[in-house]
Amino acid sequence: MEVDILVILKGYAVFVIVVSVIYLVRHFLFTLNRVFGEQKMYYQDIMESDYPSVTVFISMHNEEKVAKNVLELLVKCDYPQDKLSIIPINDHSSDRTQEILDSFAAKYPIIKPLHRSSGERGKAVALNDGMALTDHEIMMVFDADYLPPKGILKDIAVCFINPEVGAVMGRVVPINVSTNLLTRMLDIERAGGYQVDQQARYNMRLIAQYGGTVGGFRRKEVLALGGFNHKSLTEDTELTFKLYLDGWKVVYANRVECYEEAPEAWPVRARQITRWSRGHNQVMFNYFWKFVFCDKIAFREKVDGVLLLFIYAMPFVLLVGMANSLALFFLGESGIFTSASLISLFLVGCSSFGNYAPFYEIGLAVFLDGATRRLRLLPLLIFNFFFNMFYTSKGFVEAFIDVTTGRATIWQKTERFRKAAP
Amino acid sequence: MIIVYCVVFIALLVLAFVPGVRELNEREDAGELYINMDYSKDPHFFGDSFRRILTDAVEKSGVDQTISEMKLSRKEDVLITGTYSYVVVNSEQHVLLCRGNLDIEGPNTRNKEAYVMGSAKMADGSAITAMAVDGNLKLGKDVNVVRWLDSRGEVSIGDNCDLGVSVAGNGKVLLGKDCKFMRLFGSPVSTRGFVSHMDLSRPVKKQQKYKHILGNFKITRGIILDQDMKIEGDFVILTEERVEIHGSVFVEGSVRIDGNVLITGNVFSQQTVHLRGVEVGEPGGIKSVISKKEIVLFPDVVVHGYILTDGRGLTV
Repeated sequence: MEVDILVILKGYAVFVIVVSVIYLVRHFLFTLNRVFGEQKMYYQDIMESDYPSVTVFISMHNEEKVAKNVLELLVKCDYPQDKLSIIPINDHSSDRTQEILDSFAAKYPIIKPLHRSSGERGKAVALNDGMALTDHEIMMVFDADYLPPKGILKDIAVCFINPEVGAVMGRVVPINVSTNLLTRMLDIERAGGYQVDQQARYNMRLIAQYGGTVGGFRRKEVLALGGFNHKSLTEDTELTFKLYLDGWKVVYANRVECYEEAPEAWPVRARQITRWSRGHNQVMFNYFWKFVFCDKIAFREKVDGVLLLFIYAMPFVLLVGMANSLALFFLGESGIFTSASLISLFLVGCSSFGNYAPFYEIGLAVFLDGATRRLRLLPLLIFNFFFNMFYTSKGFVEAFIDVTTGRATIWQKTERFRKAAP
Repeated sequence: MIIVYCVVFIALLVLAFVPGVRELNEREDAGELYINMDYSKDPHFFGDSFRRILTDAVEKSGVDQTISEMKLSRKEDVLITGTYSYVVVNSEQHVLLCRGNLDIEGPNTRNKEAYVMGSAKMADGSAITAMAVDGNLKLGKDVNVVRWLDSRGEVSIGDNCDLGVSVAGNGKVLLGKDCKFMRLFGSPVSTRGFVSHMDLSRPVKKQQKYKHILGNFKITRGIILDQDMKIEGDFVILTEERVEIHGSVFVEGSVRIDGNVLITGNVFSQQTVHLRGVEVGEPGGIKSVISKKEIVLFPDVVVHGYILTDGRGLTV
């Protein structure tokens, strides 16, 4: 019996090391692609006189601190006004959000607020309600704390001229970088995730991911896929996989940049990353087999998609792997499966999974952005790594319980920190 | 000894974090990444920006008909003239504001920008950094543009010109042969010998479903397609018969079109584009021909709108 347990423990250690190396290679290839590979052109260079009709959604739950800023910037956008409507969705707010939205609606006819005070709360159900109010072709989504530049709507919309594009994702750039250690970590983590990871996946024609904000999707096609799943905590990730399963593509637009407010408090970040992990892992449990057996997806996309599906499960796998290594050590198993595996797990884990975009991706991204002095922050990511590992693992466990018990999920909004208009 | 090892170990461990902690405290690189919040896609961006900067500076200075030092993006000598016609072989080092027409009659090198409120002509063999023109613009042969040209009228370009980064006209932009370019904008941009066969009388009912070709796609006979196309390989049209594509064409490979072709939408290639006997877009509208690596325009090509390549652009 003891031998059987040892075999399982050793087998798991080998499994963890193998999958860690697979992810390490994947992210290393992305980094190499951004340095040496051919960079694909994005469609935003297209000049066009016939833009599609667009509705912009901003889901808002108690967003009085930020609502004014995002609306002021959206009405300044250079999109043809006869093809644009803006629907801020007041989702059960109890602060001054409704008053702010109504004052903007009175001033700008293109702003048509949707006030939701009954029924289910959450971004997915709010977007479904919003889509029922418009017949426009393209739906764009911004979070309430975002600061969209003047030309961003055209840059996103023009991409849909390519008939195979189902959704577009732009780049999110934190604006409150200098606040504290957390915001500085999130800043470089975002840089790695977008500047290198997403762009490389776009270059290599893999699975670019729709992130639910600074982006858009086709209304009719999404409605045909059943709209957004009310139970999903990451409706964006679910949409990405639903679109690929239906033969559509998602494109990433690195030059379509928009400021966001990064979480400034660790508990807020903990809730955010737990929700992301829980939602992403729900998608993993629900879509893995469908994705593997789908005949509309190219093999390279399938491999990348499977690795993407499992990416929020990996911190849990690693965490168990570390406990596994300790168990092997105390069971007196020396050799390659004790100290060696613990060290390799630690090193591979730190360098590959610190914040989901490995150190070399982040390092390159910071370099490409020309912000080279913040490279000095890289070693500090190790603290973020352990923080993320714990809360992502928590999200994984919660997703597992959600899927196996059918437990209902409750949407939790990320707290805002803005004190004055930037 | 073990204490020494421990101290060295801890020191080396801490050392890795020292630069990061220093950056956290000193905040040398703690600003947000720059995003131009006012960026708007505009083919006349260079020209309009320069016009605005120069006219503001001149207005502020109150100077007229002379050379004066003014603050533009940096301090510059500005020559203000009325209608101006000259032959200067040596290079000129001042910014020019010409309130009338400009006629550069001999080969001349202008190392600074010019804003011409009338029309402008540049003789064969001239060189210029950049020029904004409110009227029409005519370039002779062998003209070298370092940065950009912007006209609110029509632009006529002689043979063997290097067109710099951008040429934009509100009216027609007519290209000579053997010209190099990166970005062109006009209503329309055309090479010599173009004859339109556009017949918009046939009602077009564009299909919702696009044509998706997994490999290469070659058209060798006349056909009308009322749909967008996505082609994973190369796209070739080689026929003298009429081909019409009422939609946009997105190609992962290269595009080679030689025939009698109308494409009412955009042409986008991640590789190269070679066009002969093609009309892209429709009068009054804006469509684009975009290629990652190369665009070669042979005779009888017209594009209603925009042409851009990250690589080499050439007329033949």
